[in-house]
Amino acid sequence: MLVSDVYRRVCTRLLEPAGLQSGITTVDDFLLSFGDVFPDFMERTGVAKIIITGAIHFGISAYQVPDQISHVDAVFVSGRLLRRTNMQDLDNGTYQWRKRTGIPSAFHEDGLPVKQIELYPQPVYEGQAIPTEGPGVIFPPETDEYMIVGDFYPPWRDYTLVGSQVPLNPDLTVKTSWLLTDSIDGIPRSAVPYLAFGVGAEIFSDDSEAKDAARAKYCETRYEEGVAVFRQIVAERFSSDPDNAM
Amino acid sequence: MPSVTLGQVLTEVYSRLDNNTALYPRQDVVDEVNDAIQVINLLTGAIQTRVQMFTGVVNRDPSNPPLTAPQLIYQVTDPIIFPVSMQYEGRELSGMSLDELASQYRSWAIDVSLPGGRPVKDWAPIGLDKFVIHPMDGRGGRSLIVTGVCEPTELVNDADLVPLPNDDVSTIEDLVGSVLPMREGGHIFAAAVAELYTSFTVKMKSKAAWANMKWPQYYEKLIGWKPYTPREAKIPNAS
Repeated sequence: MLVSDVYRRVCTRLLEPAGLQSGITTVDDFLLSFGDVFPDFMERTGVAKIIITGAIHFGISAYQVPDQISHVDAVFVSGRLLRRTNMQDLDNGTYQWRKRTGIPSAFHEDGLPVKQIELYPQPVYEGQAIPTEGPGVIFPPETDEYMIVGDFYPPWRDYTLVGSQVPLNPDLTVKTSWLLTDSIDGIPRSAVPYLAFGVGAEIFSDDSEAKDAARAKYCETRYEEGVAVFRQIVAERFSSDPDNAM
Repeated sequence: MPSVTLGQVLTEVYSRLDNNTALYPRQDVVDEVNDAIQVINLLTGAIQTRVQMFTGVVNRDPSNPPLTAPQLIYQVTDPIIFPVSMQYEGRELSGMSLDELASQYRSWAIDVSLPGGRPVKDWAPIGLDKFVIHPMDGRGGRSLIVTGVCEPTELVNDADLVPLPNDDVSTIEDLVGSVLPMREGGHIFAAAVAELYTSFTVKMKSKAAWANMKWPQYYEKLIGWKPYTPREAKIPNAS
């Protein structure tokens, strides 16, 4: 499944079956739109989950979420699920909660800089250091620490994030640019028609000669239908909370 | 049992497109039919298959490379899109969400099934194509039969059978008939969408496997089409 599979569908809808040659919409325009639509689809549907473990440090309760995760669904420490909470509950429920120490049992995301989590109570132990090389080891610049992808590693007493994955390169770095020959990973083949509608919605609503409100709205409707069905598949199978469905 | 062929679907679709093979070449129509089958399959979960996998042992501690442990996380294999049920050694496993599993069993990530001990009894999906079993199988090499919704086989020849129930064939025709006129645009496209996409959504709302799915709002205002409602009939005429 390649980016060119989406491109072919878009070209036939633009009446350019041999490829975008008229100049009204170019291949670069297509790839830019695809680069917007594909991460949006993955983030909103949550079809692909990634499991990333990072080291816990003595006395540090706030940790940066790596860019490989767009939305945190759950946090585990030593493989144990942490309760999701918020600052209001902590403020009202626990006197001087920031001073409490121990093995973390809850986490919150609000009241913090973007894409950070804070563990509660504050850990007062040093988890196992993440290996600096090996399969699945990454070094996200935003966390400035080695992390490892793929399992929960319970004996390490570190924290594990489970969340919606963004498009990744084979070396697990975040993919930001696309070519027609790139493969589309992380989503099933059945999602390709919906990606083509998403790109079509962008092209038909762009301020160019290709602008067409009716086509754009239809494509947008079909793209939203795709987001809704995949989101529902992920949410409705077993989860009691669709907003944080795993 | 499916008995409608691709050729029959194409004939019906072309009759809605004034048999215009110049604007709608056969391959384009076949591609849209295949896309429509994928979409309807996602909505209804009609096409399912079983795949046999085996439990395994993996290295779960990169800091100690020779150390192997029972495998916790599995990935479904092609052509399954997502699993709906599974059997371990012929026994049905109980499905639950990962948060339910982790809440119910504090040590779920290290629990191991050994001979004479607790048997493998639960599974939980992680996203679409990953899942965990609980407890992990301590022996490895045991049969895990995964049933799931799978990717439909692409139709190529006129004699190929549509892999959906016969009463879904008209839904395929509705969907294809609403997409293809996009290349004509204007009134023809608007009319096709108003009639056929609406028909598709009405049929799918009653058949979709996902009862709580939120269908996108459609664009009545843009194309000037609006379903008749009794409430409108009660609005007095301004004149």
